[in-house]
Amino acid sequence: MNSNEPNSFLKELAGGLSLVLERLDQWLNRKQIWPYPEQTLHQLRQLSQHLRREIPKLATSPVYGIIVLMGGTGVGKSSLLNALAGEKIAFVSAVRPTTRHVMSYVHADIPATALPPSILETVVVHRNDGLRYKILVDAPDIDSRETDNYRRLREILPDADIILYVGSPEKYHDQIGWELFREYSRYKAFAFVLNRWDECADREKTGKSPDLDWLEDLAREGYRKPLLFRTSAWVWMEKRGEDKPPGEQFEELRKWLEVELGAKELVTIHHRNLDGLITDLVTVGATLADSVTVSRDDIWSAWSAILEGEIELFLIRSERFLTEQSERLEKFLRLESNRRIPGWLARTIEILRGWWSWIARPMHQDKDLYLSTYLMDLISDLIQALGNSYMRHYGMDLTNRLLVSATALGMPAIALEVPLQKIASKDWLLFWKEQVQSGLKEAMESSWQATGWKGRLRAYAELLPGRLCWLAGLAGISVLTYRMFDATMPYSPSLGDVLYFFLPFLLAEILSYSLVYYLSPRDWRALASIVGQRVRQRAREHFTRLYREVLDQLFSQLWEELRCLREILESARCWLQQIQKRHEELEAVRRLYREQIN
Amino acid sequence: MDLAVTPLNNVAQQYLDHLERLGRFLKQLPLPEMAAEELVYAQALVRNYIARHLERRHSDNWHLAVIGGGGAGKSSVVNILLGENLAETNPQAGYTRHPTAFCSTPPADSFFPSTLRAVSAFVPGNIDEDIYDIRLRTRNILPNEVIVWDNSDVTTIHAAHYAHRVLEVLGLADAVIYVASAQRYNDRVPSEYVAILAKSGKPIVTCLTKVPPDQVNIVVSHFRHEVLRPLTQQINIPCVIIPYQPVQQLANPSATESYRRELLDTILPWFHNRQELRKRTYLEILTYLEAKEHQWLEIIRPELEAFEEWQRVIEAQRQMILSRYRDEFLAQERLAIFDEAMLRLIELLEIPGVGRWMSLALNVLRLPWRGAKALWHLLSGEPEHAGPLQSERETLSKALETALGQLWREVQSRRERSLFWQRLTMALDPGAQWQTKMLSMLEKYFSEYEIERKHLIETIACNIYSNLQARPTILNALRGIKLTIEVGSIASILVSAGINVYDAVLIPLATSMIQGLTEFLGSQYVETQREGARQTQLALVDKKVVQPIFSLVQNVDAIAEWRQLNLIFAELSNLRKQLSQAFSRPSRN
Repeated sequence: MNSNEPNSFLKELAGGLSLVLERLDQWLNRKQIWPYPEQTLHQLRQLSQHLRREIPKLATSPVYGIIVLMGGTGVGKSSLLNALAGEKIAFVSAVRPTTRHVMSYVHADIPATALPPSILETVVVHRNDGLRYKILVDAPDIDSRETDNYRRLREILPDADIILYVGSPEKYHDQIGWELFREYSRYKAFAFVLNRWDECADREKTGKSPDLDWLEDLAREGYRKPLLFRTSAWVWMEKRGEDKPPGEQFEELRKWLEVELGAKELVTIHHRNLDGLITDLVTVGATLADSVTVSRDDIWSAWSAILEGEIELFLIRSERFLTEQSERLEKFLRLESNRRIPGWLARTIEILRGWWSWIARPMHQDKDLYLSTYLMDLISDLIQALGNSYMRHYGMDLTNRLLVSATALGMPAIALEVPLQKIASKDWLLFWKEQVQSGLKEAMESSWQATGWKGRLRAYAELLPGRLCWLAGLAGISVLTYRMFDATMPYSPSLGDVLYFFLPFLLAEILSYSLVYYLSPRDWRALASIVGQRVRQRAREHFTRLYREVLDQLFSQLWEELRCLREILESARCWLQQIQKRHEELEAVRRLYREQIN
Repeated sequence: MDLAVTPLNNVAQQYLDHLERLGRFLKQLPLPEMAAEELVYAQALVRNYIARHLERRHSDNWHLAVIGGGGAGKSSVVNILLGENLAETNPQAGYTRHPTAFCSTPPADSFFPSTLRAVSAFVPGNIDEDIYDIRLRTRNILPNEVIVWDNSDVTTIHAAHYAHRVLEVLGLADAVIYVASAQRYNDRVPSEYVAILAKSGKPIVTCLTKVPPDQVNIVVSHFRHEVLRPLTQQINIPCVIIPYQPVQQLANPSATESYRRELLDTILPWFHNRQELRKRTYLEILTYLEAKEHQWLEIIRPELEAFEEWQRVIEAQRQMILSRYRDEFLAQERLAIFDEAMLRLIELLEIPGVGRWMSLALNVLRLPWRGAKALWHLLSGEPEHAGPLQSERETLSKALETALGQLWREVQSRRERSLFWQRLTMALDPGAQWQTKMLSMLEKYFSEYEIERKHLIETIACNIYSNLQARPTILNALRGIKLTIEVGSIASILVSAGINVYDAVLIPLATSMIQGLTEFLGSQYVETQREGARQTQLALVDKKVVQPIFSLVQNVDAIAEWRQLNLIFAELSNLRKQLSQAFSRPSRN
């Protein structure tokens, strides 16, 4: 057997494939982000397991083939093995089922370590050089009431290279065997034996004979020229082939096994079996990868719309509350305006107001604190009112809407559920409170800033209170002095002269105070709309940070997962191409496979 | 007699209807091996055995069915039994594809009125249609009432297409010949059939064919002890052994005389005792059906449990909506109409007509009370929070949206568990617009509700004063009591302290206190009514909005079948009991 070239390739292939399978198994065993269809995953696992069973057989040198005899009880699998061996190695009886063990017929040169363990239950060693690289395995039946037998057969089938489907005139197309045949016909070479051929001779000559009927069934499955041997193993065992029935083909079977099935054929069979398995693996893997049909941008745009809606809703609800409580805001604005106006009049009013309000609430030493507390109370009340009504189940509602919209776009809820629930349990009242507080703070800063003609004017006017009054007072005193020293007018000082100072002083202060007060922002709606804008902007940022991150993280993991799978499939496809390049189209081998029905 | 029979036939028909419905449902589930076949068999039993005997249809005929695996030699056995080669034997396994009846005279009407069509002309055995073929016997070996049935096999790749025909005939059969070949006698599939037949009380005789002449004893004893006995749980199943021989020999009626005799020796005593045997089989069939009902119930149990779980899930969401409605809306709803009602109530307690002047005087005296109220209002400062921040409709639709979403998530997280959840997942998928439909239904129900609510709440609020108005006696008594107390206290102050400056303080104080007390009592009463109105409104929302929506949810088309399942089993067991009680009547002639 000088088959070094294909052998070295097979070894290389074994190494490459086991690497691919290892990565695939890793991928399959990893906790997956996407809930792939369970059935497809199962298929992929099965294929990977099947391939794994093929690999050790590739690494052996020279290449051997495992031929498993599959069929119902009583069709004569054991007799056939005996006839092929030329001696009684397997127990044969009329009690059904006879064979309960797996028996392998192995050449002495092949070390047991090179064989898959599943077929090593009973090993009969021989020295027939024709069968040197072919291991014949007599398997338990598939259809008796001993269901354990069926299970054991299923265990060894993945290790087979060629399956010899043995039938009898009674049992050549029973349902159970046919299902197994269909399942494996993509991955294994199949040859067919119609044993007990002698019984056909005893039958009537009318109607369709079993062999022709079987060939028709096989043609329907895509086997145009299947290898079908009509044998009578019993005749060969008992009578050494004498007076065999007409058309008996046991010798052809033996010839095929011993001579025609050479090293080249075995290598091609390995190639074809692998070809079938890897093709399916790649196809199933591709359907798996293609089952992910979801776009992050779609989901994000749906989510953005929902989140925008949430912000607007919050603002509408808040406005409703503030409209009810507008007195409080107006009062606050009055106090704040007053606080910001310099000058003694503003201070006096402040003190007077503070004195008045001690009945309602304790006087605060620190005016700033007093004011901000006043505002904080308002915000707390707002948040509490919201929390009592529409924000009571805020996290749940929001998460639900996001999940439903994402799943409507094809995202499985399972993938999103955990991260979204984590966000849902956040303290949403606190979240909104913070937004409103900081929005208000910014709004307060900007409301009193010198922007617009009113603001700029106010900034200048602010210089007047506390200053202008002194000027006016001095001017009054100047008038008085002038009057005192002006000889043209007789002057007699009186107590009323005090008014020369105080009247302008007072008037100027009142005037300048009123001017600044008038220019101060006092419309609560204007303030509320500025706060609303700030809140909108800040909430949008926060929402984006919270949810976009969830989506990004999920998708990056998902893309990584898919990239990994695609890489594995790509390398499998590479090996597949290499196998197909080395494919030798041998007629003898092609007959063992289903033809492509296009 | 006939009067008694007809309703019983109805019972059988109803039982069959339920069984068919159950069968259609079961076919969607992953079934254990043979369960599908047994389902068809159970239907055939009711149709062709139970109903036939209750109707006394073809009651003179005695049916003998032959079954077995492909190529075991069923047709050969039929020919042996008939003593003539009427059944087609063929080397191809699975050749026969419809049943053939061998009768002595042409039957008057069909044996299978609703399932298989009778064809009297010769039809090749491999015609794969829902027919049965009738052939007439010429030899007079069997009694005229006996009809022998040759069947298709149950093992080959085509068997799935015609197994139901075999089962139809097996349901009809009064006795069965099971043909097992030396190759097939321990095969899984035909054995399952024998086990089913034995369980349903059909007398069985077995034919072991193609036995290698040198191994007869070992094979027969294995067959008897290791196969037949565990399968049928019966010790003495008769077994006729036909050793392997070429077909030409088998086709010779005189050569098979001994086998025929052996078969007849078993079958003819059954035939002669047929009345008794029939009764026994009838009762055993009912026992078999009972066992099957249990088995089907076990298969369906996960589905039933899923259905129950779904009910619980729905109920939880319904409660959720109601509690959200209560907390988020109703608890904050002031029901302002009750404030009005309060004012009206207090007004009502003032004396009308001439007494008005007195009231006016008292009102002046109560100035401190009104002043105190105004001051309190001023000092407590902040405006009252006027009500919930979202409308009733918004609250409900938001709660419903969340509930629907959660329902869907609950469902889809379970979708791998059973068919039920799988169906629901598809039906409730957000892509299918189900949520939108439900929300639009909410709008509809809500507008209906709103009209009723307005009316109802107004009625409750009005009742606060109109009840009093309607009962002048009580009203006047109350007015009288109040006036008496007021006037009495003024008088007592005047009397005890005399007319002096302090009276100007004491009298307004006393009248204010009395007015305060009256208003307190009135407000207590109104608050109770307000709370009652809230409860009424909650109940109304539940009845008019939430429940209708949830009954839509519950009645999703996708799970219509599940709602009937429990009922089907109850009905089946009930009808079966009627059938088993009733048997004695028709059999007694």
